[in-house]
Amino acid sequence: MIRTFRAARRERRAAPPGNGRRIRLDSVTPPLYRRRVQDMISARGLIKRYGDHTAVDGIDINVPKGQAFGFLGPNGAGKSTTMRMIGCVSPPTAGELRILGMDAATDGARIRARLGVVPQDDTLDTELNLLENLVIYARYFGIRYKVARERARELLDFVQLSDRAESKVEDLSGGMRRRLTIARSLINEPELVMLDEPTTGLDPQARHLVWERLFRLKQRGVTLVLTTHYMDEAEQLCDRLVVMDGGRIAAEGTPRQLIEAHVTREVVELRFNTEDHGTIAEKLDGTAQRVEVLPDRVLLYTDDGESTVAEVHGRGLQPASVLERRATLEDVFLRLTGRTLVD
Amino acid sequence: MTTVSENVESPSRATGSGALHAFEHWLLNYRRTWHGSVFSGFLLPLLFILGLGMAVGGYVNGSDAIGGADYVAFIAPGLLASTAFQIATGELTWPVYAATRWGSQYKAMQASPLTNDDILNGHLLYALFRAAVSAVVFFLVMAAFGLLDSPLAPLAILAAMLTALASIGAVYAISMSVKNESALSIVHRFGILPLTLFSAVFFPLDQLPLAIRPLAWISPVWHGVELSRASTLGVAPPWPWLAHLAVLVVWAVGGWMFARAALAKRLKV
Ligand SMILES: Nc1ncnc2c1ncn2[C@@H]1O[C@H](COP(=O)(O)OP(=O)(O)OP(=O)(O)O)[C@@H](O)[C@H]1O
Ligand SMILES: [Mg+2]
Repeated sequence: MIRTFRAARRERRAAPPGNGRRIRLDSVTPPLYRRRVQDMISARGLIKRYGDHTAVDGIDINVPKGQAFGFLGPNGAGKSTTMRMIGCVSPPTAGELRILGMDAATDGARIRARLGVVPQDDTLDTELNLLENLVIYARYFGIRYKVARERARELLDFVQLSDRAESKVEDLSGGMRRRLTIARSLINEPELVMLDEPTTGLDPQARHLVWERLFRLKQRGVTLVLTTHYMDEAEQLCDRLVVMDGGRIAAEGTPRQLIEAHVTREVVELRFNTEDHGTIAEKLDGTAQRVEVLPDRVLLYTDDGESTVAEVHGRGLQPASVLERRATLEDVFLRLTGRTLVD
Repeated sequence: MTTVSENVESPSRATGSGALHAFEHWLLNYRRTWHGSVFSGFLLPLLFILGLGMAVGGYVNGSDAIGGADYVAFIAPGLLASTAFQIATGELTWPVYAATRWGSQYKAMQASPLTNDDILNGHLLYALFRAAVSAVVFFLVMAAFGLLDSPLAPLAILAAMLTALASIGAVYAISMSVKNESALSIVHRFGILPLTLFSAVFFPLDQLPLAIRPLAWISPVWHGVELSRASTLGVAPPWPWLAHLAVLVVWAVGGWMFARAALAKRLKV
């Protein structure tokens, strides 16, 4: 499955997005106008304060139609707060926020009618069964009962919960609830789906199922915005990412761009049994472009892993284990948000 | 992905049907328990009329204090209104508290196109619906016991609904604002119960010391009870009926505004 995602992403990059007609339209549209029409989300200087604490500190975002856009960031970075503002549930303290071409401050209800939302904490009605949860949620959107029931059945199928349709939500496992929440977010056939940690708590199989479902949505042209703590998820699903830290955007780009811009090509991971990592750092100084000391291991960022390893041994150090690997998004994340850097 | 408009009944923003959709949510929960509530809706008036009416009635029937009326006929319209009040407000204490503190029903609604007003009105509508069911059932029991002495008697249902309408906003606002759930027991014990006891349901207001009477004058329950009684007994209420109505309307509008502010404060994120 992983390969499928990667292959598809490569294809998409090779060919311009959309069908032939859309491309022709684009080429005759002035850029400014296009930006307005095509951006599903456009935020300028977005700020959210709770009392004197600033949760989101002036961020700019553009998400074009059909893109899968990801937020990465440590706990408390302001990801969920941003998601709630985009979901038109939480009004921004300052800044401009336009969603689907409408103003979040004044058109909240109209925007929400066209959004799908998976909040970080499930908001299912545990007293009702799965089917009822979906149908009643559809009613909030003014969807007819008959259509609501049809879609509810389809969506339960979509997340492979059909056999539990009549169970109370109370009786579902956490991962099943998560899948139901995802199904519920699609009940109004949204053009933009906001997913706040969609796969947290899912077993690997369920996570792959969700990835595959999200990927299918993307192929249908649905715009996805998601937050995640799983770097593999970000790498699989997201066309573009921002790394948030302390309410600000620390970096932005495609997964590959981020890796190229913020870390070296290769990483050497060392583990030591005996010695204190603090003193190790000094001894490793100069073996790589950057040395990062984590509580359990030391990361050496280098463009040439082999010679770095040779240098480590040359200095007489005896790590318990040595691992040479390519740099990943996780390294970018640590680089940008970690606080144990020794440059 | 452009099929939304075809399958949507109405752009609910424009028609204001959002509150109805929120109401449907509470109705869906009610579906599981409605048998029980209709049954107790019959049982409650029956017990009051048989137990209290017949037994106490033996002592006070025809007494001057109640204008020479049959005691059962005197208390029944009062109970009709106060029961509607109790059912409606009872539906808005723990359930309202729970919906924002323990459960996540409101959070789910918030993410949908429903507005805060829709969420509020939907819940209030449900409380009124519950009150209406109980009022109609109570009225039927009264009819079965021959307690309706006036062709205007059906207006008592309206009076009961006005009593409920006048109280729900205030109770909702309190449930939405209280810091912890023990405050809700206090609302029940020192709000809802005394309002029922001192609002001339079981005895006429002039039986109370003059010093306490003003409490009844400002209570929505007293005004509703008097209008209800005037309807079924076919007598004039103590105040001009427009005055009774005016107090109820002030409570209804004021309560709704408080409820709205309390909800906005609670849902603010
Ligand atoms: N309703 C609120 N009231 C006060 N402070 C809040 C509120 N919601 C969030 N915050 C604060 O805002 C900051 C950002 O929180 P947020 O939930 O957006 O982080 P996050 O990036 O989603 O974190 P996580 O990865 O843990 O979900 C935190 O410091 C949090 O304490
Ligand atoms: Mg979060």
